[in-house]
Amino acid sequence: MLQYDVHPFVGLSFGPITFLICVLGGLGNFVGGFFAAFVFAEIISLGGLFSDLEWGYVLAFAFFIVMMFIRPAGLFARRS
Amino acid sequence: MNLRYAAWATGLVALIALPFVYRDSYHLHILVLILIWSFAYTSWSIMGRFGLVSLGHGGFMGVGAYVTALLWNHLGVSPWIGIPISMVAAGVLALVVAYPCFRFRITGHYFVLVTLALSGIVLQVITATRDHTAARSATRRTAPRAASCWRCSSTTRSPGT
Repeated sequence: MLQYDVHPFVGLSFGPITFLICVLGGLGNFVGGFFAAFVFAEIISLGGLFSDLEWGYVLAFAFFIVMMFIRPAGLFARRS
Repeated sequence: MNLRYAAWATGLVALIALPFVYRDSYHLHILVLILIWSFAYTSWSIMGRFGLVSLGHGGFMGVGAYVTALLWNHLGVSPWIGIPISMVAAGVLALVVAYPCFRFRITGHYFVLVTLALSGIVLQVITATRDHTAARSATRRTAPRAASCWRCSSTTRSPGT
């Protein structure tokens, strides 16, 4: 059974990553944000599948940094 | 002007001499915390002066603290050598991320998020390698009991005793 817990600090586990996903998808781009959330979750989960979950997070953050360098306006941004 | 320098010098000498003559650990702990927050704040204010907001300072502080502590724990390197090494390590990490940032002109929100992701990477790497980095692991080297404050080490009890 799938269970989640709630506690006063539960927001902290979402906040920063949500911000990262927003910018990864492009600020204001709804579909891009959805796609970025999918990509982020897949990277974290696959990292956790093949190694520890923490290495999945490391991969996802590194992916984010690299994407900021090569596509700062978001994954779906048109090339200018 | 001379009076002001004399006042600064007196305060500095008093601060350096304090741990030798005053041994109350709680009050020294408060002073250590004051100094730690002070240098964290100083580095942040320097960034603000350049117009960049960074959320990665925690990551760099973590690298500095962990490199020093791990060199002491695993290799027995004195923190007097470990602190410069950890400064170089944090600087190298900063250079690896900052050079592309300047190259691709990452500023504003994007710079904030790059540094946030970097501190997240540091946090997760330390957590993932907890077998080697865990402070409470049984492999912790016991510091000498009669450590002087200049030896930069604390008198920690080994977990086994």
